[in-house]
Amino acid sequence: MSGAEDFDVIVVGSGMSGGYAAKEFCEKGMKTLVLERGKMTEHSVDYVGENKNPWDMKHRDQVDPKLADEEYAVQQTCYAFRESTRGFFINDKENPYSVEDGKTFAWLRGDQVGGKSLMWARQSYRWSEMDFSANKADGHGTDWPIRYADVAPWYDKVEQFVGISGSAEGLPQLPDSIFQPAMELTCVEKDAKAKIEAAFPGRNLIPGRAAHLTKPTDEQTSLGRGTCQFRNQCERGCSFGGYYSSVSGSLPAAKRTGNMTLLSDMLVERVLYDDQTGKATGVRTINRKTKETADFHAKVIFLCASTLGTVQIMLNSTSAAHPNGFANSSGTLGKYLMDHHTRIGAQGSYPGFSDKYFAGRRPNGIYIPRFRNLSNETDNEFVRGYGYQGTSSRASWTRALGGNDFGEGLKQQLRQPADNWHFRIQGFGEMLPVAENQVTLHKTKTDSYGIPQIHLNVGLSQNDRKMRVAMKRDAVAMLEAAGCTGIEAFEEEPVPGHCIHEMGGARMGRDPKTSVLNGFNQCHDVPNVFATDGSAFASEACQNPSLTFMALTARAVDYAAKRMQEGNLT
Amino acid sequence: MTTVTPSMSRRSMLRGTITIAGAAIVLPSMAGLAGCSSAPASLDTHKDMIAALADRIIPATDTPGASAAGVPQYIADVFADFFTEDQQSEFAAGLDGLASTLDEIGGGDFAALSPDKQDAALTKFVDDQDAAGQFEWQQIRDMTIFGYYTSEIATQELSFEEVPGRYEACIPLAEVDRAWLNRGV
Repeated sequence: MSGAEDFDVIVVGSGMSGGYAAKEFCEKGMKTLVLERGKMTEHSVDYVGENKNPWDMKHRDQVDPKLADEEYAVQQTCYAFRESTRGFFINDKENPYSVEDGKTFAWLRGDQVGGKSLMWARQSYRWSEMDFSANKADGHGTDWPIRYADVAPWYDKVEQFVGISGSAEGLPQLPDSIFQPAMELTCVEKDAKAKIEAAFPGRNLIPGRAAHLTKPTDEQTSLGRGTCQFRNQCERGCSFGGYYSSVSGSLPAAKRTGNMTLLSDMLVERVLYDDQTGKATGVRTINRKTKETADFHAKVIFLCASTLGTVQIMLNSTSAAHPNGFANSSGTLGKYLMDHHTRIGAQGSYPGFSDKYFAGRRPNGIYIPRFRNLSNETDNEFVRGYGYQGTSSRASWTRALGGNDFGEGLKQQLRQPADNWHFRIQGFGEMLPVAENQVTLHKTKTDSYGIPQIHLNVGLSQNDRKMRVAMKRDAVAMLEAAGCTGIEAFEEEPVPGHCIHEMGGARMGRDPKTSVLNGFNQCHDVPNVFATDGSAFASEACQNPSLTFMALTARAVDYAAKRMQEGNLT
Repeated sequence: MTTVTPSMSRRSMLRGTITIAGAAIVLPSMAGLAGCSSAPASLDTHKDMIAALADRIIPATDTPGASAAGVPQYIADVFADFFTEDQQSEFAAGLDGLASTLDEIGGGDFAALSPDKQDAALTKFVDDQDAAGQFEWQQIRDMTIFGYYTSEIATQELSFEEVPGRYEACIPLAEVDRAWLNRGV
């Protein structure tokens, strides 16, 4: 390609953040090139696992364990990995990465237009003033250059487009979104709510807030989206558009403006930089099908390639002016990586309600918002906090697996659900931003395109460990208060990355000497490059982050577009 | 992105069960495998026994049983497609032991016995955890249950709505009548 500016904007990545950036730029009339390293996904057409009942699949939606071990050694650990969703997960054998000896890291990745927004669990929570002020309050990490008031209008905007079902609760630590009707709690969950809230004032059990349409707006229906049908096979893709993905939402919105060029199978190797102007000129791509290299040019670059994808591109975009990685004069690029620590909680039987049941498959659960250190206290056993996701369930036939009985009696017995309901909550804890938790480029290992592999060195801090003790203890106490029987606490060693809430690596901050991005996700060092996925995060709160990825993306686009129109993006 | 991770029951783990999202594929244990490089193991010898076992585990009642639901084919598919050669050899050898136990108790070819006599023979595995073939019996049992309740026939057995189009969180069980047929994985 020529050195001329082919586009106003290049957006790298088409997932949660990239899709939203594309929509916003296109709707502002900007010619936008979206580069996605994965394959094309068209809404409905490419949802190859959708609408298949178990008997429509030879192996009943199980993945061949030999294939899983050989080619999806990491991806198969994801709760959503099945035969019907396998095509949405990256092939680990073809896309290796490196982990520090003695450490673990599960890099769970999409490999298509839409990225992980196709298989996400759709939980959508605002952050609060407490979250944006936490670093300053307790001194861990660097102060966020923004506060809740800066983001609130952008949450409003994103929520109205995406569609979030949930209940208004008026909790300061978990501000209400603009909601569509909440999904109802089961009778067991309502009972648990009453008992837990009575036993522990300040704790709340609320319906999960999820990106599902329960009362679509005109804008949503105009994009071909409709009400959630409660099939709960979301991770295969949903032709109803019942849940939000960039493939069902933002990319169609961008496309209908006529301003978007979307290229799949285009791996961005590096950002191109001009020493003379001190700005980026575009990106260099490798076509994954042909292996051909091509350069694309634009006035502004938005990196939305996922937390680790964006940091990898930046680390790899070295030049004379940027010897240690792109826009890395601070030396913080790749550092302060985080993921939520989870795989800890409690479960038990829930007495009563044996004559009660449900209809429809709710693709959602319950949420217990953070209740520790709500004023960012520093004098307790740990700093920060955690929330819980959970669900009640009533087992069907799968409860027979692992038993030893057989025959007509068994068959007859399985016609009824299990006698008891089951209730389970799992904690999601905030990891502190720690410089030592770092992603670098491996010095010798490369991938099949010759790009250095990322090397991950991430572990839990003492604070994280102390928090986990409380997470388990509180889970058990709440189940006891609810009257559960046979309570079992569970705890597995967290594998960083496994929660798929990676954040940090190109953190925002007030000081260019200690951060990569400013308060508008703009590189301190290079004014026409922005990173608006999880890489920008200076802390990680304890809530699921996707909603905040989109809100900060929309905000950054607004800022960039205004400056571009003024001819003043410096 | 993560929600609740289903846990693996202790018994499933002991049984060498792979669980994916809460469901089971049953695999033979990897223990005691010597290098056998003879002809690939096959289920053919025990085809009739497997079908007979499946139909005693989930018999035909007012709804069809396991054979009519295609369970023997499902078991053959898992064996052929998911098992490694070593696992196939071990499983086939284990079925020999299972067949011997059953033939001995029943006093003849298990598949040819009457259903009552088959059931009587199978109580051996409920009563005696150390019976030869216990492990393979349990695997056939779980594969039968999984295969049956993920078959289309199971929509006759349990309540099923392909596209519910509704969510009602708390309704009388009597309104649904039978347990929901969930997808298993």
